[in-house]
Amino acid sequence: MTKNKQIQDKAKRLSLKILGLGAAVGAGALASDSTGYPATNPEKEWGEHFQSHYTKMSPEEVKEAVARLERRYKSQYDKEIKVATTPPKEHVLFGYALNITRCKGYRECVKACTEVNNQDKNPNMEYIRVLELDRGTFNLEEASHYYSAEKEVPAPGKFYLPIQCHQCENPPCVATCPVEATWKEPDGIVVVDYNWCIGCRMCMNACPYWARRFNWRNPNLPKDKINPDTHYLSNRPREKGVMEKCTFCLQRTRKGEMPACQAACPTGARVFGNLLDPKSEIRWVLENKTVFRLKEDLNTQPKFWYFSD
Amino acid sequence: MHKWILLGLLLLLPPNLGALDLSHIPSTRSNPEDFSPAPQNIDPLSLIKQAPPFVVPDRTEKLLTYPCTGCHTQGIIKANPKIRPLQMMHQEINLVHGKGRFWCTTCHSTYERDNLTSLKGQPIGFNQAYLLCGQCHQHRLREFIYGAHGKRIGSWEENRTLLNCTECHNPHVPQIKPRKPRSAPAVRAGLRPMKPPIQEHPPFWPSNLDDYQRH
Ligand code: HEC
Ligand code: HEC
Ligand code: HEC
Ligand code: HEC
Repeated sequence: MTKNKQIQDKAKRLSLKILGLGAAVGAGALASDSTGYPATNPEKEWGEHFQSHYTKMSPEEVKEAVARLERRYKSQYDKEIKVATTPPKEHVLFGYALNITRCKGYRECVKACTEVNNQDKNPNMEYIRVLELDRGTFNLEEASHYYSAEKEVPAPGKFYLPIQCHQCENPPCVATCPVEATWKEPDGIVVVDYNWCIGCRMCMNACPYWARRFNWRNPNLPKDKINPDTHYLSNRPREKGVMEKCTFCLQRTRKGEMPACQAACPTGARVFGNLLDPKSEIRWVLENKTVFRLKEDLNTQPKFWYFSD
Repeated sequence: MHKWILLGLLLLLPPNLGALDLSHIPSTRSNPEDFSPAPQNIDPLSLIKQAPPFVVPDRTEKLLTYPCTGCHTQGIIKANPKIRPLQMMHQEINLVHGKGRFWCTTCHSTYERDNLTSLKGQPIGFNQAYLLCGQCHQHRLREFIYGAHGKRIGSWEENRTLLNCTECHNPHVPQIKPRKPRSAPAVRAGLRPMKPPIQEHPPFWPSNLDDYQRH
C-alpha cells in the first residue's frame, strides 16, 4: 500500500463521514429523550482521529494505536482494559455447527455472549437470537425470538434455532462497505475496525442473517460489567455510530479457547473448531451428519452449519 | 366311536404336511448359505480406540456418597443382590431409566461397589461411565467420541476434554427436564416495546389506532 493510496482512502472516508453527519444528527435527536446515556462521544487524543485502517498500519503504528486506546479506556471507564492484537493462527479456518435437536432454547449462549463481548447493557445488545419455531415448519418469518422467560422450554411442539453471525466466506456485508471498515480475516472471521467505521449501516442492510448491530448511542457499559480482556478487532469497547457483530469471540478463539456461547451451552448443541483440521470435530460433523445452512441460495457460503440427530 | 374315525383319517394324511417345505420359494440371495446376522454392537472400548484420544474430568470427587465402600464393606453392609424397594438408604434414587427393566446391579457392581459393571461383568470406573452407557446407546457413544453429542470443554485445538455422559444425564433419570430460559431480548434502543403477548401480531384495526394517534 503506497502512501498516496492511503491518503486517498482517508479522504474518501472523511468525505463520506461528513456526508453522513446529517443522518447522525437526526439519530442523536431520536435518542435524546432517554436518560442514563453518556451524551457525548468520549474524548479522544488527536492521534486517534488520524490513525489509519487497522490492516494498513505498520506494526509501530498499531502499537501506538493500542496504547492510545488503552489510555482512553482507562480514563473513560476507570479500569485497566487490555487491547490485544493477536494475529490469526496459521492453517486455521473457524467453523461452527449447531445441533438443532439438542438445542432447547435456554438462551444460555445469548447471556454468555453479552458477558464477554462488552455490548451495550441498557437495553441489552445481543448478537445471538434464539428463534422458536413450530415443529414441522421452517418459516423464519414466523419464528419468534421474544418467547417468554417465564415459561419452561422446550415448549411442547416447538424447536429452537439460534442465529448469529455466520462468518460467510462470501460476505455481502464486506462487499457493501464503502470504506472497507469491515473485512474477512485469514481465519475466516469477519471483523470491524471500529475506528474506521463511519456508521453508514450499509452492512447491516446487506446481511441476510440480521447479524449486525448498530450503536445508536454511546453504549451504556457499567464498569463492573466490562470484560477487560479484549481484542482490537472484537470486544474492545465501542462508541456511538459504529457497527458491531459476533466474531466467534476472536479474543478467545485466537488463544485456543472456545467461543463463550459454546462454553456456556448446557446441552452441548454447539460444535466449534478448525475446518482445515481433518481430525477436528467440526469436520466429523460435516462429513457424517446431514448439515444445512441458512439461505444457501444467496451464495453467502456461511461457515455456520445446522444439523440434527 | 367318532374319535376312532378321526384318528384313522389323521393317519391317512401325508406325513410331511407338518414340516413346511420352503425349497420351492425362490431365494433373493445367490447363495442362501451367505446369510449373516445384522451387525452387533461394537464393544465400547474398541469403538473408542477408533476416535481421536480424549480425557474426561474426574467424576468421583463430585459424588456425595463416594467412596461407596465407606459403607458397602463385608463388615458393615453386606451386598444384597435381591431386587427390593430400598428403605434404609438411597431412597431418593428413583430408577426411571429403562422403564423398570433394570435393577441397580445392571450398572453397579454387586460386590465391588466402587465400580460400575458392564453387562458382561467387567468393572468400569465411575469416571468412565460413558463405557457403561455406550453398551446400550452405541450411536450416542459414537457421536460422543467424535464430538457431535455431549460437549468438548476447554480448548478447541489442544488436548480433547469431553464432558462425561453423567455430567448432563442423571443415570437414574436420564431425561433432561424442561427449565426456564434466560431473559427475552430487550427492545432495541429507539424502538417502542411491543404489547404483551409479544409473540403475537397485534390486531391491525382498530385497537392500534390510538397508538398511531399518540405519535
Ligand atoms: C452411608 C452409607 C452408604 C454409602 C456411602 C453408600 N451406600 Fe449404598 N447402601 C447403603 C445401605 C444401608 C443399603 C441397603 C439399603 C436397603 O436395603 O434398604 C445400600 C444399598 C445399595 C444398593 C442396593 C443393593 C444392595 O447391595 O443392597 C446399591 C446398588 C448401592 N447401595 C449402591 C451404592 C453406591 C454405588 C454407592 C457409592 C456411590 C453407595 N451405595 C454408597 C448404604 C450406603
Ligand atoms: C443396559 C442398557 C442401558 C444402559 C447401560 C444405559 N441405558 Fe439409557 N436407556 C436404555 C433403554 C432401554 C432406554 C429406553 C427406555 C427409557 O426411556 O428408559 C434408555 C433411555 C435413555 C435415555 C432417553 C430417555 C428419554 O426418555 O428420552 C437417555 C438420555 C439415556 N438412556 C441415557 C443413558 C446414560 C447417560 C447412560 C449411562 C449412565 C445409560 N443411558 C445407560 C438402556 C440403557
Ligand atoms: C443405568 C445404570 C444405573 C442403574 C440402573 C443404577 N445406577 Fe446408580 N449410578 C450410575 C452411574 C453411571 C452413576 C455415577 C453418577 C455420576 O457420575 O454422577 C451412579 C451413581 C450412583 C450413586 C452415587 C450418587 C451420588 O451422587 O453420590 C448411588 C448411591 C447409586 N448410583 C445408587 C444406585 C442404586 C441404589 C440403584 C438402584 C436403585 C442404581 N444406582 C441404579 C448408574 C446406574
Ligand atoms: C453436554 C451435555 C450432554 C452430554 C455430555 C451427553 N448428553 Fe446425551 N443428551 C443431551 C441432551 C441435551 C439431550 C436431548 C434431550 C432431549 O431431547 O430431551 C440428550 C439426549 C440423549 C439421549 C436421548 C436420545 C435423543 O436423541 O433424544 C441419549 C440416549 C443420550 N443423550 C445418551 C448420552 C450418552 C450415552 C452420553 C455419553 C456418551 C451422553 N448422552 C452425553 C446432553 C448431553
